[in-house]
Amino acid sequence: MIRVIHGHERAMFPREIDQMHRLRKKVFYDRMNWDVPVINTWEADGFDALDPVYLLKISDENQVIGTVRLLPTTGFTMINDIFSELLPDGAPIYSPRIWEGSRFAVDSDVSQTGERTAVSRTAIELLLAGNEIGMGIGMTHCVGVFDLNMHRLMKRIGCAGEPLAPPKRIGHVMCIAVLMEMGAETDARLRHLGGITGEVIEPRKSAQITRNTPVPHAA
Amino acid sequence: MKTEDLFSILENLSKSTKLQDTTDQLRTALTELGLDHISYLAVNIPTQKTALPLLAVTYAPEWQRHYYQNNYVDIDPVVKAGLGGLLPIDWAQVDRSQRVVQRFFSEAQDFDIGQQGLSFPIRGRMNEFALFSVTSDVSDVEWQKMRPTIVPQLLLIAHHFHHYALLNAGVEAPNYGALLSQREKECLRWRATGKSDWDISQIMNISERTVKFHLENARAKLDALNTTHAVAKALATGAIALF
Repeated sequence: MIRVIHGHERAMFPREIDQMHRLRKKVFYDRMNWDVPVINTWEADGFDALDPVYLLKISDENQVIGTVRLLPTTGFTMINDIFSELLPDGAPIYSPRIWEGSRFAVDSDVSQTGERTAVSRTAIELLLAGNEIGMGIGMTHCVGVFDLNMHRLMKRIGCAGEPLAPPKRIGHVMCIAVLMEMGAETDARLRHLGGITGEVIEPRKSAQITRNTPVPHAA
Repeated sequence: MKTEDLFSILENLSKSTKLQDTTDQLRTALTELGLDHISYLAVNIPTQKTALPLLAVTYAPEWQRHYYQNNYVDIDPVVKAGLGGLLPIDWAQVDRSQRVVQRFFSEAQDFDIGQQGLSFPIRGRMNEFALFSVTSDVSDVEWQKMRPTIVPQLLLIAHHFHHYALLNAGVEAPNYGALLSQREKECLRWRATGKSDWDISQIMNISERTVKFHLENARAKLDALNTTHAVAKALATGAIALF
């Protein structure tokens, strides 16, 4: 299941937040060799200070094995403020209905049987949860910047999204900006891909709404 | 009342009109959606010399006074979750385990604030934080039925309101209309000639999904209600030309 943690509530989830930053360091710094800010065992940057919405995949062993963070494009985003050269004409994206997913990371060490399946299942669940949140507020699209290798992996799984412009080299990494349509169609497609039925977002009391948030004292 | 009318109420908000008057008009218009009150709070506005927030509310003055005198902004759980978080908030989901919070909501009820509420956090590019809220007095069952429809509508209204509130406060907002990409302009131009998203995808050799994306981005940059409105605004402001 996917645990949704709102940045401003991170103090309530110290264990998950710690594991998430460690996972990001392992994936982006140790493995992919990206030029990302590292503080001791954590990878953390200025966008974390904007209190994004974190989606965390929690394994059966209660470990964070996948993560992505969401920010609305009305505020500051990586795609507009750091990677604008990856956008067509470098023109910014600005809409309350278009959000950015960033620091999409999946732990490929998960030692469950059939590693590929576990990795793709985690990726699909994260996207499905993002889409679920999006449907709750009428989001039309989600954008993000991917490392070309990651993009290829997502393509193999069948959920790479659509390139917005040709890939470009940034530092020593080939990057590409992609977009994903949000909605019922995406929900059905991802569920079919991952063979997923039922809820993906862990039920938790939170003021912020997702699509299926019930009214507690109803009926 | 169509959403078009809600947008035109906000567009009438110019520097000479009072934000409060527009808020009252918008409130009247929103009653047809089953809503009762509006409140808007924006902090860290670049033109404000003082630390005072930009504020417009339609609640009874007695409640406003009570709220102010008791420093309720410090305990208001909606303000706390709304200025901190990013996703809309349903007031019914707010943690009411603390006694002060229970008292706060029961007192609000005494002043006819409404049983239900939704708040929309807004994050802007000038480091400002804002929160647009609406309340309703419909039953829980009715609320659950109407919420999925009104949330996406109100998300746009909230951002539209914020845009005009900033202009009204004398903030020079970035001119996103001038920041349309060639692709966005091209999509708008084809829509202006009556082509469908599918037609445009064939002409431009991109997916229909990408066409929709460019049009949504253009809509928001032009602060328009929908694609048709965006085309009209782009033509009117000279962002695109047909010939």
